[in-house]
Amino acid sequence: MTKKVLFLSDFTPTGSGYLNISAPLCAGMSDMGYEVKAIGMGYKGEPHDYNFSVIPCLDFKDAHGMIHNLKQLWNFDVFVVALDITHQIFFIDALRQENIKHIGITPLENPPLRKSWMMGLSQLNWTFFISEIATQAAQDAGLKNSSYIQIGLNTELWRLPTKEERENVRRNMNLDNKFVILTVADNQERKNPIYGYDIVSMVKKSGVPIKHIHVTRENNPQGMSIRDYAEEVGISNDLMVIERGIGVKELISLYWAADVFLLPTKAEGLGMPILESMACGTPVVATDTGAVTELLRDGRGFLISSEYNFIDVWGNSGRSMINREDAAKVIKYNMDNDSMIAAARKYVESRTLDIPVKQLMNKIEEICDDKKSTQQ
Amino acid sequence: MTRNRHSNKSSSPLVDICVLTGGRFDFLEKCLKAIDEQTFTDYVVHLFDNGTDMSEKTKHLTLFQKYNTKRSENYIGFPRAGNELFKMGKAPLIFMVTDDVFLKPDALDVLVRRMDDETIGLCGLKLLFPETSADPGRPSGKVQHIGHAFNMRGDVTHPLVGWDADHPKCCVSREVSSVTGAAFIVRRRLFNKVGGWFEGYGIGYYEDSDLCMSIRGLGKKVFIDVDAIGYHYTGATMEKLQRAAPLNVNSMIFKARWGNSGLMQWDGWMFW
Repeated sequence: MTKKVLFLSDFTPTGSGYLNISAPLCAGMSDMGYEVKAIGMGYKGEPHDYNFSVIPCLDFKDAHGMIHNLKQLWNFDVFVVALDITHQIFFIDALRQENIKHIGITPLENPPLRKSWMMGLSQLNWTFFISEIATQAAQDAGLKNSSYIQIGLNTELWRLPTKEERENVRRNMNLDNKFVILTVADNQERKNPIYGYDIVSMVKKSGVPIKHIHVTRENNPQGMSIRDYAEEVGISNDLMVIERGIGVKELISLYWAADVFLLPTKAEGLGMPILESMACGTPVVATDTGAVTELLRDGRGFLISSEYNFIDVWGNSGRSMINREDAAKVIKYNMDNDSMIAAARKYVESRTLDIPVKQLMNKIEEICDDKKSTQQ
Repeated sequence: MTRNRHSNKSSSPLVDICVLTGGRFDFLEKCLKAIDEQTFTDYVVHLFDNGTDMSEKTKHLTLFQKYNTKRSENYIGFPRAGNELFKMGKAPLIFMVTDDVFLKPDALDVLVRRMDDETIGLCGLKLLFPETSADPGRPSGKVQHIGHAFNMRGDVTHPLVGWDADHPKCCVSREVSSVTGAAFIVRRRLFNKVGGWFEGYGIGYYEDSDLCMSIRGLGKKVFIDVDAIGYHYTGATMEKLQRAAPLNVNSMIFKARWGNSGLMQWDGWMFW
């Protein structure tokens, strides 16, 4: 039986991680016969080819009004929010008086799941966590109505290059004699760009002719002055900064051109760029933290331990500072690894797009039929 | 004001085509040519010269000779000029068009047929950016107007701007909150009943939405027929006059006039 699903998430077209999670879920549900309307935070009405509606939304206050109006005007069956936990709790509080079936899809950058967050999320009909470590943390915290949702990737689109394709891309970008280190990450403290540049600098100092491609939000007001720091550590002539929001095909070509993908993140709720790199055959070097561990373990990538760990300044979550020397050594000596590349590709291929769609739809059917939700 | 009367087409037409020009004679010529090529022919054209520069106008006098024309020596703004313009005729239907709109040949025919529906008081058309546009702010051939919608804050918005003209979302004829004053058809008796254009908007902006709200306040629909198509440059007169648009002030006036009417409801979601 068809259902009406109101979905809310960040639909900023220029590089929102949530877009990569939400759009396939909404499209998959539409393909399976559901009616889906998405309230698109950050979406300003740009043309798209989705098979579902995206309604532009300026801020959470507007979103709250939209939800209330759409309940009257469209009478949706279930409301799904794919956002951070703090934003989930905003909507839980805002919709407390409304009789709305409500599912959350959310990351947890690192355990533990704090008690106040657990109590907030416990008011949802169901919470899906997008990593196994987060799901375990939720269970440990006593959040019963929760389970893991396995986010997938379109591996027909994100694919291995042919030898010719890789050579062409590198030649066109003048990278023929370079060892290319790619990072795709927002310019914010959690992604740890400073340590990333330190690692690149160390690799360069060891005699490797590097080129560092950094796809990011260069002028994020909460970010660092990446060009200043690049100069400080002696890599400014080897740095190519590309503003996030490039087309998918252009981004894929960067993965193809790269010799290694470096993500020195302090904590990670999922890490879609890691999956993208694995799908494109580029070895990944990343901090052994958060969801990164489950993506790269079992020989699928290089998990680098931390120099030290701490709790973030808000007291919410663990942070791991990647061991820069270890990362630099791995990059210098260990990139020729066909079995790792094959294992990584095979793993991403197993994460098909229909899996999370089915998980979500099954839960929607269960909740809307008022069956008792069971722990999965 | 000066008036120059010439008869054209019918003496008791069904439609008065009311053309407003602020001096973009390059566009006016194209606009009038497109009107001449309309498959629907039961109309008279009235042309209002809103304070154009005479030294420039003398180079284009032939444009005005075929039509019933009136001139204001000074630029008097869109709403007041619109009121003067609409008074020039008596036909039961008024088709308003600004000089930077170029209709497809069947546009007027489609609109007149739509107005057979007595529940509709005013109808707009699908407007596209000109095919020859090289301005990234006016993407060639893409949607410029498909009707107005209110967002959650009560702002009048242009949904789907920049989308492909053939996209299914852009091919829905429907009832809307308002349409642009650049091109639309309206019943004269309703226009007169609501008192015409509200001149409190000064040089202009929001008077089109205001007129639509007045029409809706009479219990009649404002509609958009996407089978009637024209090309719209947008902002041509303001560009020539080098004047800023009083958008915030006029937005406040609009909301003050209609905020409590019950007619301002969030309807943007239906377009997306």
